[in-house]
Amino acid sequence: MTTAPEPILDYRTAPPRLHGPALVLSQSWALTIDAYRQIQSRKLFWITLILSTLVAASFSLVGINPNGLKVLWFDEFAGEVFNSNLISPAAFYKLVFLNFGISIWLAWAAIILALVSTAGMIPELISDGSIDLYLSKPLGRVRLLLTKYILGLMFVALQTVCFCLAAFLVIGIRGGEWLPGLFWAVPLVTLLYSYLFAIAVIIGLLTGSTVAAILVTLLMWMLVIFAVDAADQGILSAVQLQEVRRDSAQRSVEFNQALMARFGSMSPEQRDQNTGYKTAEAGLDASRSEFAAAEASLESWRRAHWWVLAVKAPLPKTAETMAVLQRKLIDSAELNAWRDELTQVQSDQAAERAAARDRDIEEARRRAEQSSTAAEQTESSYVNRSAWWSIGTSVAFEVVLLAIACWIFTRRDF
Amino acid sequence: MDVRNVSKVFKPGAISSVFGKKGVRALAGVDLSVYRGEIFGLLGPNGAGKSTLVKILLGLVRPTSLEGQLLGAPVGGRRTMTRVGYLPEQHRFPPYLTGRQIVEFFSALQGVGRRDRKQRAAALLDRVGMTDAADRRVNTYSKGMRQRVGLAQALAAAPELIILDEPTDGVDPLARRDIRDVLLDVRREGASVFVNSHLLGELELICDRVAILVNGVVARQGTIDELALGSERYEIELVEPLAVPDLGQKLGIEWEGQLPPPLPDESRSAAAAGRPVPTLDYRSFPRVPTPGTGLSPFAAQGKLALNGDPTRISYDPFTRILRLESLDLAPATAALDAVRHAGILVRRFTPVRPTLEELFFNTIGAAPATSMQSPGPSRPH
Repeated sequence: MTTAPEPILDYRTAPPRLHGPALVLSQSWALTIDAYRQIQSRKLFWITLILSTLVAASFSLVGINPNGLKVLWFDEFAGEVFNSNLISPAAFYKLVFLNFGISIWLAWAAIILALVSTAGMIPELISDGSIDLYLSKPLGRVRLLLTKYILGLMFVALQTVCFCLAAFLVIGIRGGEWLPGLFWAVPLVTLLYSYLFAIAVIIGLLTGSTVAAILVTLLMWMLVIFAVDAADQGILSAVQLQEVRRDSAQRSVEFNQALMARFGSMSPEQRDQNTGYKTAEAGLDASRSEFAAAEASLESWRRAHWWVLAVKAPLPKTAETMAVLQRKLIDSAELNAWRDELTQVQSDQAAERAAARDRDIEEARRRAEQSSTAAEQTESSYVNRSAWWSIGTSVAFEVVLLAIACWIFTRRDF
Repeated sequence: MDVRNVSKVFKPGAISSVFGKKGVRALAGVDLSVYRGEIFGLLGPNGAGKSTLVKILLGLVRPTSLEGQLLGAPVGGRRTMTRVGYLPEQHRFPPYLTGRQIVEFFSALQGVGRRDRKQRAAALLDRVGMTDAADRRVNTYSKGMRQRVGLAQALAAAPELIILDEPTDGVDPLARRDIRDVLLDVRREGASVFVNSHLLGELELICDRVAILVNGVVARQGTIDELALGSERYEIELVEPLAVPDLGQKLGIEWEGQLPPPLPDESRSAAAAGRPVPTLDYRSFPRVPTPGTGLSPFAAQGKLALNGDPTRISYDPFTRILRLESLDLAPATAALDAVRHAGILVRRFTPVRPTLEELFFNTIGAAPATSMQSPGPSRPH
């Protein structure tokens, strides 16, 4: 340290201090740069980024042609279900991107890594010796907390941008399909993470502990959000299955009634001696019983589903937010031929199993087709739920959590 | 800065209150004035409420009651905070930033424009001697380096009031001196400096005025001379280090309590010659130095009868100083006469102002106990 006589503060030439919007902009920019430096300094950021690139690069290993799938240099397999006659290469790559890149990697593994990386932001901010530095500056508490929250989302947004870019290039170069729709994943995956990060923020604020923020968020995600969603999908599937069963019974009733109508000109004695009439009559009774049973069962399942939806309504909907991405990316008409083929394959497999066990092959086919139709309807019903339900209620959950966090943060003595 | 009736009661959480836990009163009506261009020291024992007071001034803690203003504006207001610099105790700068980035980042939060903050950061880092290490990450810094950068950060927006919480705690003497120099320069330029510190010697060197906070109230406030008014003592420094019993015999002193051990010969000769005294085994001594008195373990206290009127004295053979606990000159000169009459050579006779440490101990010893609960650093969240 020198003992130079130059003034330290030098109020005559002291810098003019910014006020109003200029101050807000300057502070926001400084916080953004700080968050970027913080993210960059974390090894986990780079590890996640490298893994994301590897996952995206792995798309280049798989190709599809009229004969089937091609993995590396191993030629065509699973050609009966996967071939470019049934499913277009673009739809195939979008399916791979959704079911592996997004559902398994980005929406699960990468989000857990992001949570581990960013859950400490608020506990670090409010720790002694750190919060004093921030709050002693002309910076509103609500703005500070919300800015930190938004900058925490930067971690996931950056990761997703890099992943989508890599996937876009790999699929474009390897598969010859340029799919800009992949970039829908950036806002939607970031949105999904924002629900979880809101939980981490409020727990971090309440406990001041990074570990508690991570654990509670993961437990909430896995044990509450995931479990309720699984119950929703399971019961929805049961509802759809009962609907298919009921419709099938309804058709059977109508068929048997039409069949019996053919014997209308016969006298009752003649009908009693007619085997066809008696079979139709027995079929009608069985169909009516089946219809009544399906109706009763459907009613029970619908009631159970209503309760699950009531529990689910205020919770964030992570899986359904990803379903919005599926809706954005894939037009269901693109998959019709593939789905029909898939149903046929499943029906054939069920028939083979029934034949091997010496059971009714037609009944097995019917059940397999019912099951396949129910699954298709379940998926369609789940994916096509309104954005207000999937995203609106989740954002409402997030807003409520953040409002509580801001209220706590502004009132707390540090 | 002029604040009145600052009080703070930390309320227990909802769950704690159910179990009957009561609030903690950290401040019980503090009145404080800091004038422009002065260095003001705030001292007090642990739990006196110093940190709470500082945090209230910065808007980190919401006061239960507060009147007055900071720099003519509301305390803790955003406009006010653009004019205040702050260095917290145990600060935790982001470890991924360099010293330069820290100064620039926090001055940006305080509203300094981009070009200005780069120029000021460079100049301030140079002033605190951190130019060479400015581009190293802060997690590689020593405590002294962090304090220097912290000081530069506090000064970055050219604040009119600088609040420093334990700025020299844990730093080496060289860094302490440098920090003191910077603060004196800042004062010269017209800014006010508010220092909260336990290091009384440091405060004594730089503070124009101090306040002693005890149990959440200001027990004393003023310049050190004002606080010392009426507390001066007289000291007689002897030429030879007489043993305690010898001096007592010559002057007729009535010693109190158990006499201290004699000064070892080796120490005696070293003390007489002005050489460093060998290391002592304090465990063998029956007495320990009285805090704040500046007396060594060899010192004794007693009464000296002067014209039939006993005056309290202390004598330390180690420093060869006979101290009279009397504020009047008359008994002091009488004692000097008695010493000279006994044939003892005198090197010096002088009035002595008590140290800040002595004033501090006298104040906290004399502070009235209040009915409040004992405040402390741990408070309900």
